[in-house]
Amino acid sequence: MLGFRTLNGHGNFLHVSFGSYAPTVFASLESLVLFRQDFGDACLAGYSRFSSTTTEEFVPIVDRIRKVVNDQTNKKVSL
Amino acid sequence: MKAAEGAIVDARIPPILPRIPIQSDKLVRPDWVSSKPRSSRLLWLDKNENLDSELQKVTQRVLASLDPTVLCTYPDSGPLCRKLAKAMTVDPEMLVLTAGSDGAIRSTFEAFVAEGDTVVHTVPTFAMYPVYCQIFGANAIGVEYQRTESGPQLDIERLLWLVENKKPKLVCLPNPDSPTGTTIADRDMERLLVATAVTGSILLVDEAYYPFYPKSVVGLIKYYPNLIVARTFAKAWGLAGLRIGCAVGSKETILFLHKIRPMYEVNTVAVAFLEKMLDHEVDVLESVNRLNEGKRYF
Repeated sequence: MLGFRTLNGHGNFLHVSFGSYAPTVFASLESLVLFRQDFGDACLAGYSRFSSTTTEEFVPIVDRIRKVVNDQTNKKVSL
Repeated sequence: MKAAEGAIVDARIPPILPRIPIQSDKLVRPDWVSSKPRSSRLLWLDKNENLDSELQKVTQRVLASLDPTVLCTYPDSGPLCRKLAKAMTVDPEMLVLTAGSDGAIRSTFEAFVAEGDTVVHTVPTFAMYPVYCQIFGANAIGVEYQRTESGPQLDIERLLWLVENKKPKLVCLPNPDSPTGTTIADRDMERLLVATAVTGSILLVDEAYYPFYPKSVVGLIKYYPNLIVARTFAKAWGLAGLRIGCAVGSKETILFLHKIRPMYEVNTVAVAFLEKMLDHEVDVLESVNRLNEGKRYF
């Protein structure tokens, strides 16, 4: 939805790579949700993992990530 | 040497030593004293639990319906075994209750793996496979997932080569695997089953994420006595705190796991709860659908 690379895994979890947005996204989610930020293994390095939950529970998380992306995009545009 | 009153201090007393594998400095477990509880202000999406509030309404009703004597009585797991076996369309003798799928994995190691035996597992995978390899003194061989554009990929040919050439005692294969979320294609699973059957290797398939991933090899047990399937009720069923699961295999194979089981393999609360909860499979499947929808939304 936000253009980040995701992995279509088959467990009750999902992987997403926030790329250069990662530090800002992690900081913005700190007060909202516990999730695994990164992996030491090469095959998953750069990916974060969230356990699956309901759409209702995901909405505030996705909204906050979207805000980070929009804020950074606007900052780049104004530069 | 001056000892404190009542203490026994004698240089002639030899040090207390565990089995040789346990003496290894490489065997290190997470700190069991200073762990910090997770904040209740945060949403917990870090341990792949099922915190679906709709399913929690069901589990709370089941919990409230339990007879209070479950707290002061020892478990009788027979009725649950029979009911669970029926639900899984296997014979009760093909099943042993365990403390989650982790308990099934540990029992499999305990029954089949001796010091020096070769055990093959994927890397990365469920954290306890390398730990059990160390505890039981196994010669662990890891098959690493390769990084690709579409995500981690397992070199199935390498895995098959190891089975055929190293003839491991045990091959551990979570399907889906964790943390990768990857699965083994049906054809590759069949090749592995045949290869391990020929070499006399146990193939332990951990289906902890069933029915998030609805394919299962339980139906193939009748053809492969070397196949053990581990299941847990911690994921889809939302019962991570109950610590209950099972191992399923041929009657002959599961008999070995029964031989090493503790006096009471699972607790009375878990037995009574799960026996009632099995009547709510529809609610569990609805929860799985809700969580899969959430995943797609993200």
